[in-house]
This record gives sequence, structure tokens and C-alpha cells, in this order.
Amino acid sequence: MGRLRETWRKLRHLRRRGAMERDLAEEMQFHIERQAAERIAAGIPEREAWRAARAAFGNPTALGERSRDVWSFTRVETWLRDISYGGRLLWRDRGWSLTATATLALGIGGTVATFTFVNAFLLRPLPFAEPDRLLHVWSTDTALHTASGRVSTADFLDLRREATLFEDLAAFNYTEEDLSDDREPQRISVGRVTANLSRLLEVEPALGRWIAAGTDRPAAPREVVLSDGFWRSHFAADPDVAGRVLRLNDEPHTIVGVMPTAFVFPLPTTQIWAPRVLDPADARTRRHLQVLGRMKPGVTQPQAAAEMEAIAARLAGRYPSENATVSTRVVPLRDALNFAADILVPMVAVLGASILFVFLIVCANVANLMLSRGVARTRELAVRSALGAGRWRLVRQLFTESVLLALCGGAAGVLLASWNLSRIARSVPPDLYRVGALAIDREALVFALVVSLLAVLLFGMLPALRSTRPDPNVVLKEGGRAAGFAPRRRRSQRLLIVGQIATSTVLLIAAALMAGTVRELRRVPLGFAPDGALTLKLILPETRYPDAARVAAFHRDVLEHAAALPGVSAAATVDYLPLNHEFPVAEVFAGSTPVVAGEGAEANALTVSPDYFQVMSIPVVGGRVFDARDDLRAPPAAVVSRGLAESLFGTDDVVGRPIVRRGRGGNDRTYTIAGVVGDTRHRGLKGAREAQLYVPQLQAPTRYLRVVLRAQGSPEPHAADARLLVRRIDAQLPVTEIRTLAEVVEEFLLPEINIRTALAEQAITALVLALVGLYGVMAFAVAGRTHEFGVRTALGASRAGLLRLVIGQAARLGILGVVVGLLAGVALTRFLAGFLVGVAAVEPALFAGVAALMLGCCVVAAYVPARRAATVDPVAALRTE
Amino acid sequence: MGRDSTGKPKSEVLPGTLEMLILQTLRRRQMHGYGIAQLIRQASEDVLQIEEGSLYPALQRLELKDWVTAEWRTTENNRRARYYCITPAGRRQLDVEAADFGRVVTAIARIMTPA
Repeated sequence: MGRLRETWRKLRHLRRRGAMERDLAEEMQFHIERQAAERIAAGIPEREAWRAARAAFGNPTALGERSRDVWSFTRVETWLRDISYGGRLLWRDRGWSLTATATLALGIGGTVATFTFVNAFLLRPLPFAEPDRLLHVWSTDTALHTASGRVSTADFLDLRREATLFEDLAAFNYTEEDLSDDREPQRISVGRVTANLSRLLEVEPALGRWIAAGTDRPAAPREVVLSDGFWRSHFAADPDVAGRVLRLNDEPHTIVGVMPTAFVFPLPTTQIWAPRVLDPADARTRRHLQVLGRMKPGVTQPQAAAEMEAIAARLAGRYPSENATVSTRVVPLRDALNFAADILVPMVAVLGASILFVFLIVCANVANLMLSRGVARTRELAVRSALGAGRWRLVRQLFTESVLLALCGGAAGVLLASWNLSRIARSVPPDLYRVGALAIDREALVFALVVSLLAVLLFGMLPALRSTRPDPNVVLKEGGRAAGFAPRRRRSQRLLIVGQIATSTVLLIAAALMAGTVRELRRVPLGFAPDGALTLKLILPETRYPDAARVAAFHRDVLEHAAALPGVSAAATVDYLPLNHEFPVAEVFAGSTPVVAGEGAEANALTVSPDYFQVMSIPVVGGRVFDARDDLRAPPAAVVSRGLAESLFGTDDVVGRPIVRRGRGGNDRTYTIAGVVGDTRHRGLKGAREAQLYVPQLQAPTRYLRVVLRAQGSPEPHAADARLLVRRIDAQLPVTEIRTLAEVVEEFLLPEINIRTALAEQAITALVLALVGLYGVMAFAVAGRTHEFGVRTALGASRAGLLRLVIGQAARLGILGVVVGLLAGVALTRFLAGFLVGVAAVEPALFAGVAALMLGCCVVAAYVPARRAATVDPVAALRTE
Repeated sequence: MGRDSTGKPKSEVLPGTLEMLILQTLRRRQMHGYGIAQLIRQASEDVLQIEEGSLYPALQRLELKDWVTAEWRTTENNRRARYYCITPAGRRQLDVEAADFGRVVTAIARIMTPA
């Protein structure tokens, strides 16, 4: 209590410090005057009296200081003094501080960016109440080999009715729908959801209300809720937006509310939530819903999973023709929303590991830098210690400097991280589910602070602490020259260098393997020619295109107009583009119905217009491709890829033979093979030969389509023409994803390219850091041995001999590091194996190349210090004694 | 420390007792710093000489602890001086310290007195 009052009085006193100084000065002056007067009264001459009085009083400045100290916050002020002293020292060694700060920044920049990335995409909990109780229900189908399938309306309604361990189940899916208003037609991303979603996720609109219960019934009036972003971009954040009407796919929808910014569901790009109409009359085999549920409190995921499976088993018994092979699988909601997790997690693991490696190198460099500085300061510390500074006082000083350094490095690292993040953000698909922004936030800042303090204090302070324990006797006697060359310290510095070189070697190997992979992937024959082709995406709304005839008419019109465009040699329509992550899987059998289960082949089923093969430059191997004859009146025709023909019939001479495509719920369809075409890559560039089944658009026109234009020369200039041509046919139809086919292919390679680029960056950073470290240690060692080199030169050592001596020492460290690195590389690159294509994880030539590169770099890094050693002037060197 | 300019030997104030002496001096009257030093010296018949180096910090400490207050007043010679005045809290503190001191002195005296 007393202390508290004192502190309070001290604080109040701060304000009248000036007055107090004046008071004290005057008071002391008064004291001296009285002493002088006393002496004058005793008969001492005036001058002498004053002098004696002043002498008796003592030093008023020191006295004043001691009086002031009573009122000051001694501890805080000492601390501030430490900081300013530390700052001055760091400033004095600007070069050293800059190197240390830059090194730290490189390490922090990478780790903080990775942390933020992982946090947003994988770690941060969903922004809904008690996200642990939220599960996602997939349907599985052993016949179709699907583990993450959607659920039909009828199944969903049954699951919802019969579930007892769930508070509620909701259904949703995401669609792209046409927004028609006065502006240019556009397609927006819509979350189609059941009305109970808001209650289930426990999220309330920021404005207005959520879509009302019952609006998901077939005949109910349609309501929509806007996302914050869409509300701002389309309605200028109008607070009175509720009540206005939007036309979505030609249907009027009334706006009833706006969701808060943080509400992200089911995609980060979702702009509008509209009711998912549940029609109980929908076929049980039409599986198009995703299902999520909130478990009752205390229910575990296995219990919930068991209940869902039990209900699914009952449904399979009740509806054997539709559901015999269908069951369910539940996963945490976050895993289901994060649909790219299977790519993301291993990618993050590889990149995270490489970042960690770089961070270790950074720590080693910081440790090395601190050691060197500690050595350089041994004399200073010894002097201070000899003058009576306690060890604790010296440690505190070093600690303060380290913290200052960590803060500088951390701040620079955060800047670097935010730049890194803006680059990463551009290379990540925008619809990948994440929670929170991909930006530096408070969590990232705390992480950066902790990591930088850790790097400096743990890896920098501990070695530096040793230098506060020198014996002043020894250090001062040796004149500081040899002080740093205790063998123990030299050993630890060299150990760090070897570790750095080894780590860089591993990263270089990984980067080279990924570069090889990307190169190999680019070499994989696609089976089609991506250059010179332009693609665009169209989705024909059911309202304006209610039947096959109208869809077919649109296909015909668009092809006619497109082929007439100047500079366009051919045009085709197809439902799914190759290498675009869209797999229309079909099970195909040789012969006619009934088929024998288990004897089919899995193929990608593509619906194409007659000129598709010409536009894509897919060679015809046998028979014919589609033409105008293959219309609705003609018998069903198919074109198969060679791969499909050979896997079904063992030969590609299959023209005229029948094949069966298995449909959902026993709707099998028999086709006659009209022709055989070359193999193409549709699903991916890795893995086994693919099988494609082509059916004609004329017999089953699709509402979801891509137009592919083959241009003479560069395709980009035709983008505007293509947009116009669609406008002429249907002015309300949005055109999206206008891309060249080459861009589609390049985008497909992005994960590998991203990993390669990131690994290459990490490897180069690591290499540079390791070389800077090696250079520093060699330069430092040479500087410390100036005397020795002088003696050697004086005794007749040649310059070449000295060069060899120093470079040889660096090379020994390099060789040791590279050998350790290669061995570690053999062990660690196995983890990369999943990403590698066309290259073995252990490639002798590549390993040898990396080793040669590393050693070459080591020699170069050692050359400058070596030259300095070789050019030591013996006279000057010996005179410094 | 040890000797003043006149070379006369002087005794140091026992550690921790300076503040008590100051409070005791201020118990009867208000006084400025110089006066306090004079009064202590006179009262101790020149045995205790207060170092200026410790007097002013001690006065500041007492002020900080709110045992004395200070104000500027005019001396009998019409000179401005800073007068210190004991507070009720200071009086209580003085009583406590005086009692403690008395016990210690008695105890020391008992030991030092030859039996």
C-alpha cells in the first residue's frame, strides 16, 4: 500500500520536476550562503569564507542528483539507459547489425508467412459457434467407387427425420447463376442453402433477416441474403437494400438481409445465399446436395457417424434399386469445406519443412554472428568486468541488445512476410476455403515476436553468454588479439557452418527435383494442341433453355457464328475441358446390355460437337468422328480413345462394336463405336494412361458448355469477338472464364510450379545465408590470424600457398557439409516422392551437380578472405604487436 | 567524508537514524535544511555533523513518504528559505522509530557496560 502511494506521488511529481529542480538549487544556495555568513561572522575574509563554505558543502550537482534519485523510477531509467546504450552499440556496428537484421528478417519473413497461410487455410477454427460439433455428411457408393459423394433430396429428408444425435441437419450446394439487371449480364456465385442453415451455424445477418423457414419449398416465394462484399459492390452498401428484387436465373428473388463480413460459406467467393428448393419428388438417385449437421452436445463424431450409417443401411434396405450400394461418411465440416485439403496439406508440409530448414540456417547464422560479436567484444566486456561491472549487469546489457536486434529483425521480417503473403495470395485459387484474411494480423504479429525472440535469445544469447565470463586477467594480457580463438568456440562455429551447408544442400536437392518434375510434366504428351486455342464458359439457364431442342439450337448457332469469325479456323463445344479439374466419370463396358459388373473400365465421358477433334488437334486413329448425321434421330454413337479401346477390347480396331455406359440407377445406355482417336490427358499429367469416351452434343446437348475456338495465330485477340458473338445470340447470357487452352494447362501445373518456385527460393535463400555465414567465419578467422600469416609470409610462404591454406580449410568444411547434406537428402527427399514425376528421388547426376555447385560456392565464399590472408604485409602485421 | 574543512573530527550519524533525527528536530518547530543541520550539531554538542550530501536526499525521502511537507517562507533576515514541517504521519513514524531506537540503545549499552 505504502509503495503504491509512493509510486503515485512519484508519478505526480513527474509533472513538477522543473519546479523541484529550482527549489533544490535555491535551497542549496541558501545553505551555502548561511555557511559563508557564519564564517564571515567568525572573522574569516569574505572570499575565503565563500570558498570554504562551497568546499564544505560538496558538489551541488552530485548532491542534486542524489536528491532527485529519490523521486525517480530508478529501475525504469536504468533500463532505458540500457536500451539507448544497446542502440548506440548496434548503430556503431552498423554492418554487423544490418547483417543480423537481414538474416533474421529472411527467417521470420518465411515462417510468419507460412504461419499465416496455415492458420487461414488449415488451423483457424470455423467462424461459427462451437465448430467442433459441426459435421459434414458425404454419401459413399461402392459401385461408383465414390467416397465423397453428394446426397439426394429424398435421402437428406430421411436422414434429417431419423437422426437423433443431431440438433439439426441442413443441405446446401454452390452454384453459379445468372444475375440479370440493367447491367452487363454476369454470373455470380450462389450458395443454395436450406432455410435452417443460419440457426444451425448460429450466425445472424448483420442487416435485415435470414431467409424465412419454408422458402425452400417448391412453390414458396424466393428470398435471398447478400454477402457483405456483394452488398457493397452491387448496392453501394445501401442500408435500405431489403425489399429490393434480384433476378437470379430469370427468377425474381427478394433481398431480405445482409450477412456479416466474417460469414464465409460454403466458398469464400459466395456472393448470395438463396434457398435450396427441396422437392421430395426428386429422384433418389439425383444426388446433388451437400449435408451438414450439428451434433447434440456430448455426442462424439464416431457415434454420429454410426447413426448416419445405420440410417443409410435402413434406406438401402427400403430402396434397394437406388440405394443398395449407398452409405454415408461423416467428416468435420472444415475438412469438407476445404475441398483442396488433399493437395494443400502435403504442399504445406513440404513448404513448411523447407521454411523450417531456412529458419534453422537463420538461427545458425544468428548464433554465428553473435559468437563473432561476442569475441570482438570480449575485450570491452573484460574491461567493464575489471572496472567492477557485475556479471548480471553485463548479461542484462547483452540481453537488451539481443531484444533490440530481435525487434528490428522481427519488424523487417513482418514486412517481408506481408510481401510474401501478397504473392502467395495471388497463386492460391480464390475459392479455396479459408477463415480470416491472408494478411498479417494480431496472431501473426505475436507469432513473429515469439519466433524472433526465440531465434535471438535461444540461438544468439546462449553462445554470447559465454563471453561475459572471460577472465579479465587472460583477456587483457593477450591484448585482445587471440582472445576469440578458444578452440571450443572455433569448433562450435564450424559445426554451425557444416550444418548450414548440409541444410542448403538438402534444399537445393529438393528444389532441383521439383524443377525436374515440372520439366518432365511439361514434356508429358497431352494428346491435344493447347496453343492457338481460346476457350470460354457458358451455362444455359433452364428458364430460357427448357428443353434439348433449344439447347441444341444454341450449340448450333454459337458454332456457326464462331466459325464465321475472321481469323478463327474452327470452333467446337464440349462440356468439360481437359486438365481443368472436372472429371465426368463413367463406367464403360464392352458389348451390349446386360453388363457384367466388375468388367468395365473407368473413363471420362465428354460430350462434344463434331469439330471438337479438329479444334483440339486430336488425331483420328480409325473410323470416323461425329458429324451432322449423329443427331437425335440416329442411333447413339460414341468415339473412344485408344486407351479405352485397348482396355476394353485389347485392340484399337473396334469400329462398329457396341459399348455400354452405366447410368445412375440402372439407366445403362448402349452406343456403337463410330471411331477411335488418340489418347489425351484429361484428369492429370501423372498416373496411368487415361481412357476417354466421347458422345455427340447433337444427341445429348449440354447446358454447361465450353466453346473452343481454334485461331490462326495468337488466340487472345479473339476474346472480345467471342464475347460479342455470344451477346448476339443471347444478350443476357454471361460469358466467363475466357482463357486460352495454354493458360488452362499452365494453371493445371500451378501446384507443382508453386512448390518448385517456393523451394527454389528457399534453397537460394539458404545457400546465400550459408555462404554469408561461411564467408563471415573465414573472414573472421583470417583477421584473427593476421599475425600468423605475417610470420608465414616473412618466413617465405608463397601467396598461392596461403590461398590454398585458407581455401582448403573452407573446402574441408564445405565437403563435410555437402556429404552430410547428401546423406540427409537421400533420407528426406523421400517425403517429396509424392510430388515427383519422371525423376527418381535419388538421382546420382543431380546429387553430384548439387554437390559440385555447393563446393564451388564455398570456394568462392572463401576466396576473398583467403586473398586477404595471402596479401598480408608481414611488416605491418608484425608491427601491430 | 570524515573531516570537514576545519579538520575537526566528526562522528557519522548512525545509519538509518538520520531521518529520525530530522523528524525529532522538526517535532517542535519548522526549519529549513541549514537550520536542521545546525540544530542537530548544536543539540549533539558538535558530536553529530550532518553531511549535506545525505541531508538533502534524506529530506526528499521524507517528503516522498509524506512524513514532512515543505514550503517557501521568509526567514527572520528577510531571506526566502524552504521550511520543512512534520506531518501527523511523520509524528507517528517518529514515535515508532524512537521507541525502536531506545530499545536498541539500551540493549547496546547493556552489552557495553562492564559488569
